[in-house]
Amino acid sequence: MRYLTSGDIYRIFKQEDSGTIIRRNNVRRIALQNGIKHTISQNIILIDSKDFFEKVNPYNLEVHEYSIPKLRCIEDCAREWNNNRKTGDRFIHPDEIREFLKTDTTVFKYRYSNKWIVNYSQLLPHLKKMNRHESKMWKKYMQCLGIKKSVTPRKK
Amino acid sequence: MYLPRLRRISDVLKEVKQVDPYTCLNYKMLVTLMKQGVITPLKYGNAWVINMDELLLFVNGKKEIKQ
Repeated sequence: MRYLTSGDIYRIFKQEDSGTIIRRNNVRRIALQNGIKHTISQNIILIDSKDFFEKVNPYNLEVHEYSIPKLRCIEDCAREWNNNRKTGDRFIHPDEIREFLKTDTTVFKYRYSNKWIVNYSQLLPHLKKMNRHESKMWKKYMQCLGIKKSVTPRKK
Repeated sequence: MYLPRLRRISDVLKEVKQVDPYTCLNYKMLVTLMKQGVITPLKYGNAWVINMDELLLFVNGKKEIKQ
């Protein structure tokens, strides 16, 4: 149990991370508001460093993560693919993506209110595989309309 | 020693939108994630403080959620 001043904690954070929001008054406030063990002696707040770092990092992370993925809802995923597809690639309907995500466990998805937020960067390789095969959904839709045009993607 | 990269919500959104301007991430979603306990909720005054590494690990599907 090692007690540190807010200035010590601030200097430790500043060395590692220049963009941190940690400042001396923030550290004191965080300690007071989040139930971190501290003592006050002669107008100086001494903060229990072990408790502070446990509260700030309860999941015991050890590695920094820097990759920022593209997050989209399902309709936006389909829209992004359809707007940026290359010649010869077919359109993909959002319902195809929904069907795929029902059984898949590799792509990150999170339900926020009534929408699913999907990691588009993880989904993209799966869309490329989907693109190689004919879509039963589009074929049925074309048959209903009486369009005889082929929906198979052009072979490159 | 690992030190978390702590940012305010507005700073998180600025950083993410620099890389991906059409992202779905917004203020309310981050607050919801904190209230659900998915991301460690830390507050000073009225401002929420987020660990960037935790958020990015969660969004990349690499983080286990404590229940």
